[in-house]
This record gives sequence, C-alpha cells and structure tokens, in this order.
Amino acid sequence: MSLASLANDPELQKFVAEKELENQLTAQVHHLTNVCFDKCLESNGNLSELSSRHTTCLQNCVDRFLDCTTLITNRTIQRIQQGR
Amino acid sequence: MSLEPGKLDVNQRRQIMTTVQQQLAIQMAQELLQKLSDKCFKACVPKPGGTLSSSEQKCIGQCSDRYMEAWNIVSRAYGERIKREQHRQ
Repeated sequence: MSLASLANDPELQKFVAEKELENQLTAQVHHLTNVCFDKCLESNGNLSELSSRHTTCLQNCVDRFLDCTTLITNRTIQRIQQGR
Repeated sequence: MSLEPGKLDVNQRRQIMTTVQQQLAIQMAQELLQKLSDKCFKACVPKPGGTLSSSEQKCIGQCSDRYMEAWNIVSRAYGERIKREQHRQ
C-alpha cells in the first residue's frame, strides 16, 4: 500500500472530501454552541433543565450569528472590490 | 496484498475508511470534552479550593448535561438553516 495508491484512489478521495465537509460542519456547531451557551445560558451551571425560552434563544443565536457572518463577509468583499 | 501495484483492494480501502472515521470520532469527542471542561469549570468553580465540593460537583454535572442539550439544539438549528439556504438557491 503506497502513498501513490492512496492518492490515486477516487473512491477514497471522495470519502475524504465528504469527511472533511462533515468535519467543517461539526466544527461550526462546536463554535456556535460555544458562543450561544454563554449568550443564552449566561454561563450558568446551575440549570436543572433548559426552558423553552432558553431553546428559542439558542435557535435565534445560531441564525443571528450566521446573519452577522454573512453581513461581514459581504461588506469585506465590497471593500476589497472597491480597492480600499 | 494489493491486486495491482498502485491500486487499493476493497479490504484496504475499507480499512482506511474505518480508521479515518474512528480518528475523526475521537477528535470530535476530545474537542467536546475540552469545551465542556472549560465552560463548566468557569461556571461552577469560581474559586478553586482544596477539593471539588459536592455542590460544585452537582453544578458541573448539570452544566455538562445542559451543554450537551444546547449542542443538540444548535446542531438542529444549524442543519435547518443550511436547508433553508439551499432551497433559496
């Protein structure tokens, strides 16, 4: 089993590409949970359960964070295009 | 074991895929544990003493349970967001 055979195997390449994508998505979930736990549960350890208010907050947090990222991305692209 | 020089046989490929899968799972578990420890230590042990008190232990247990639940909620919300974005395109 040589490195060349690993590199040239199309099925393996497809598998690795899929896993890399999965990994990126999972990493994003980790990051979002990290941020939104602090925002919505106020880093509170002493909760015996999550209320519906907490759940809604977490869901909103995910969407608003992604909106924020989109906004920043677009703005940055604009700046680059305008040559600033 | 190779049928052809420079080509993987079915078993080799499956073996590699399994190994990669396992390593990714371990990696993800490690990352989760790290986050849990960070968050819950910060939330539950403001002033580290000589041992973990029983209330600190209870807090850590609850904190990690809530964090896991939050992780699931976030994961679902993220998945749904991606689906919505795909439909829009």
